[in-house]
Amino acid sequence: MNISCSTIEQISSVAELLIVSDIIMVDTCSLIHDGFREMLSHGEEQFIQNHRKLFVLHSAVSELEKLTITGETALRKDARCTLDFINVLIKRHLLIVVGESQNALINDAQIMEYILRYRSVKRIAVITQDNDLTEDLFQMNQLKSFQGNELSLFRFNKNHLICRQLIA
Amino acid sequence: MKVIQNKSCVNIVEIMKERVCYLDSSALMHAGFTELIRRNYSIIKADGVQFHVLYSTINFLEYLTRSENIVTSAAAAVTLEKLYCLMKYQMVIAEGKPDNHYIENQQLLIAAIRHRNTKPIAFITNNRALQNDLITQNSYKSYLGNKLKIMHMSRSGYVFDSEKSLVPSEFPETEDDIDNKIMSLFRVS
Repeated sequence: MNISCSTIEQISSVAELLIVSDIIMVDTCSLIHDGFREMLSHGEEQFIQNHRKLFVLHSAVSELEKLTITGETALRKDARCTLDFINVLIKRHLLIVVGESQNALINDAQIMEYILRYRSVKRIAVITQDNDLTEDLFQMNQLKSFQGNELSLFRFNKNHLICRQLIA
Repeated sequence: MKVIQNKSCVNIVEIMKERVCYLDSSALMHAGFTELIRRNYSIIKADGVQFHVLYSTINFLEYLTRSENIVTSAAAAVTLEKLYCLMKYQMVIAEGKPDNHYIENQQLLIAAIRHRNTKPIAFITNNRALQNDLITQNSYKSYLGNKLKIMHMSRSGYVFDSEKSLVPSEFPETEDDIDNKIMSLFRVS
C-alpha cells in the first residue's frame, strides 16, 4: 500500500508552471526561499500578462508570523522580509491569500485539504521544498475513489531556479 | 467441526466507544447493515454510542432514489427510511452542511484529514477504492495524526478490519521461490 517514490528534478520555467496549472499554490518553505523572489523578478510580466495569481494559505502566513517571533535570528529576519514581500505582491494583485483564517490545522494538512476540495475542477500546481509533503502529494495523484486533475509539483533548486518534480 | 477464528474481526461497539465511526453509502446500502444493527441494537442503545454520517452521503442516497434503475432507486429509498429512523432515535448523527452536494468520497477523505489530529476516527465502507485511499492516509509523512481505522462488513453483519485483512503483496514470489517450494514439497531433485 505504501508507495515509496524517488523523485527527479527537471529544470523548468515560469511558462511551464503557467501552462500546466490553473491554481499555483506556494508552501511556507518555498516562500522563504530566495528562488521565490528571483522567480517573480524574472517572471512578473508573464504573471501579469496571463492574469494569474499565486495562492497562499492563511496558515502559511500565520506560520511566517509565528517565525518572526520564535525563529532563530537569521530566520526571523527572513520571515519578516518575506511577509513584507507578500504584502507588496498582494497590493500588485500578484498574490492572493485563501483559506479559513480560523482553521488550526498545520499548513501541510490544509494544503492537502485544499487540493482534495478543488482538484476535481481545477488543475493545481504546488511549489514546495518539503520532501515529505512532495511524497504525500504524489500519492494523492494515485487516489482511486474519486477522479480529479493531476497535480504537478515544483521546487526551487540550490541555484534558485524553478524545477519540476517527477517520479523517477 | 473445526472453528476458524478470523483475527481481523472486530467488536464494533468497543470501537464506537473510543472512535468517531463514519458510515458511507456503500456500507449503509449493504445487506450486512441491517444485520449489524439487529445484532448490536441492545448494546448500542444501552451504551448510548452513535454512528456518524455525512450530509453528502444522505444527499447521494437521495440522488440515487431518482435513479432510472428501479432496483437502485428502491434500495436507496429503503436505506434512507432506515437511516432517518435511526437518526430520529439518535443512533446515527448527521454531520456537515445539509446542502453539501460534493462527491461523497471526496468529503470523507477531507473529513479524515481535517479531524484526524483532534479525534480518533474509524470508517466502515465496503468501497474497495475508498478503503485503499483511506489506508494510504495512514502512511502520510508530512502530517502526523491519529491512525485511521478502516473497516468493512460481511453480509451477516460482522465487521472486519480492512488493513489487517489485506494480503501483503510487497514480496511477490519469484520463479526461484516456486521452484524451491516444489522441490521441498515433492522432493524433486
